[in-house]
Amino acid sequence: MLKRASTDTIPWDTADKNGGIHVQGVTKTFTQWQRENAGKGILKNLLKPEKKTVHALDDVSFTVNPGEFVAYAGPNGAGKSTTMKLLAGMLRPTQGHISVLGMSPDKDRIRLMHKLGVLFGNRTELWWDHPILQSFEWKRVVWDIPDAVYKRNMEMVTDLLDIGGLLKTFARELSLGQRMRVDLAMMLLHSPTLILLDEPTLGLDVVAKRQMIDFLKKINRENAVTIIVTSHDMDDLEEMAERILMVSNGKIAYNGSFDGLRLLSASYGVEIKTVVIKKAPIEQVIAGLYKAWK
Amino acid sequence: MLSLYALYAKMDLAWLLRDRTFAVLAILADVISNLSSVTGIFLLAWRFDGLGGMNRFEVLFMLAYTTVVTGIFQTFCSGGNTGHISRRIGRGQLEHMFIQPVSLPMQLATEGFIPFSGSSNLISGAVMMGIALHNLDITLPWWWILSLAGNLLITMAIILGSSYFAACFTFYAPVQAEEISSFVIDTFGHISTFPLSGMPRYLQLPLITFIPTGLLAWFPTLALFGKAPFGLSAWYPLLIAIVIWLFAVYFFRKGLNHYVKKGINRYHPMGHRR
Repeated sequence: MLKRASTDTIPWDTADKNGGIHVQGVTKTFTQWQRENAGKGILKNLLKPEKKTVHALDDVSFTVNPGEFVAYAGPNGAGKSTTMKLLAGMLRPTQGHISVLGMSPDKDRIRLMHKLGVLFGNRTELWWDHPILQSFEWKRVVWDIPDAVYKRNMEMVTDLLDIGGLLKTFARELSLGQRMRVDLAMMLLHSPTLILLDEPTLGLDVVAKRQMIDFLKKINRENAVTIIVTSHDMDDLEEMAERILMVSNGKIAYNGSFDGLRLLSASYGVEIKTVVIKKAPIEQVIAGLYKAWK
Repeated sequence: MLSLYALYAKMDLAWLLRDRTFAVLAILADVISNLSSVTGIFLLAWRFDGLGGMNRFEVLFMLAYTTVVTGIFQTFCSGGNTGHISRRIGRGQLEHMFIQPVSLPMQLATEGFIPFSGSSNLISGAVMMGIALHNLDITLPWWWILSLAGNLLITMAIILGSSYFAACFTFYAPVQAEEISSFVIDTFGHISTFPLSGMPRYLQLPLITFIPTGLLAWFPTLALFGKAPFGLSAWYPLLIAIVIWLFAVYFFRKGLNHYVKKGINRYHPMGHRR
């Protein structure tokens, strides 16, 4: 069954290496401090600190083709945010090769950032003590966006994300949903060809989530923007993306369509239907998959 | 680069003027704070007709010099904690900089520019300097002003280099060393207001070498008036500035390398940047 699932993936060597994302054999390890909570442990730690090596990603390979909308899912600590940071050049892999839009995130950072949009749900790029328009103006200058492109994109995001009434508001005054919409709008001002979204729907209410999902689907469909999105919410992911990459314990546990995943999960007795998802959280689904995969 | 400076200047003005009461209070508080920080030493110098071989107005010039240096630092390096760089490292905020299509040195050089809300020290220091020079009864050649500018630049380089050098620890201990830049800058600022002329050599020497707070106001003041201590060249602080920057650049690059390899398992939002 898993072999069948793996044929659902797109081999990395057939992908357009100048357009999408090409990740090959990437490993990322971190060290964690360890210590016993007793006197002896504390003393021992003083002389020889105990450290544990954690494999956030372990020989991960995948490809995302230009124009694709890919979901990147997994339980807490699976390596989702680490992957996003590696793709955005915020971290460097311990091993392996990463190519984003034909560029190395590490070596071609400045050139890549002109074409890449990054949004972390728990962070903002907005200037807290300024109106939203000021943050947009900051983006125009720092990204050196031509006036015509800036004007066109401003009109587009203002209209589609319904943020016209928020432009003069200070960022610190916005609600979470408003802030996310505005952050998304700002991210798009330089016309990125690839967007990395880490938990963009985190904490959003139903209406705000709906607006964001519709907007992302639209720009993916009409502007051929490549999008990778992470989320804990399988419903959101299935609605947005065409393909899903499931990561667990630092390894790609599944790479293929949602239908393929559903079939695969059913064969292992784990239902992944929308209505049952609350009873079978994603952690269980991946745990089942990963166990079988190993 | 100029467009970035213009952008941050505009943002600073907009921030300062967002509320009339706030703007007046912010400026007033800065001026009172600046003057009170140097008044004590000046009153002592006035009472005893100078301190440690420096007359009243030489002491006032030294205090003005340190105020101007603080003003330049605040004007160019205070926005977004670019001068207090250990805060940005320790809070995991360098990641915001990595996703901008601008080199890190360029971001660090421009983002801290707050010419309106940060210039009160610069202005009050310049006024104090004018008063001191007016009362010193000396004739200065035209190029003296260039020498003053050069000394101010070197002093700035020593402070900023020391802040960045100390901040290298933050790459390895983000929580513990988050405030190390502030500690270095504040310590330098406090000690630099004391005239060292009357102190024994075994105290003066470390303060112009290992802990170069004596180079931030005392040494340049004497050098500018042709009385550089220990018979050293007036440009001796330049040598120290170069050494500090060599260390700072070397270890900062190493630390940055560590940061992108290991990451920092800590993040504070940028929201409270000012």
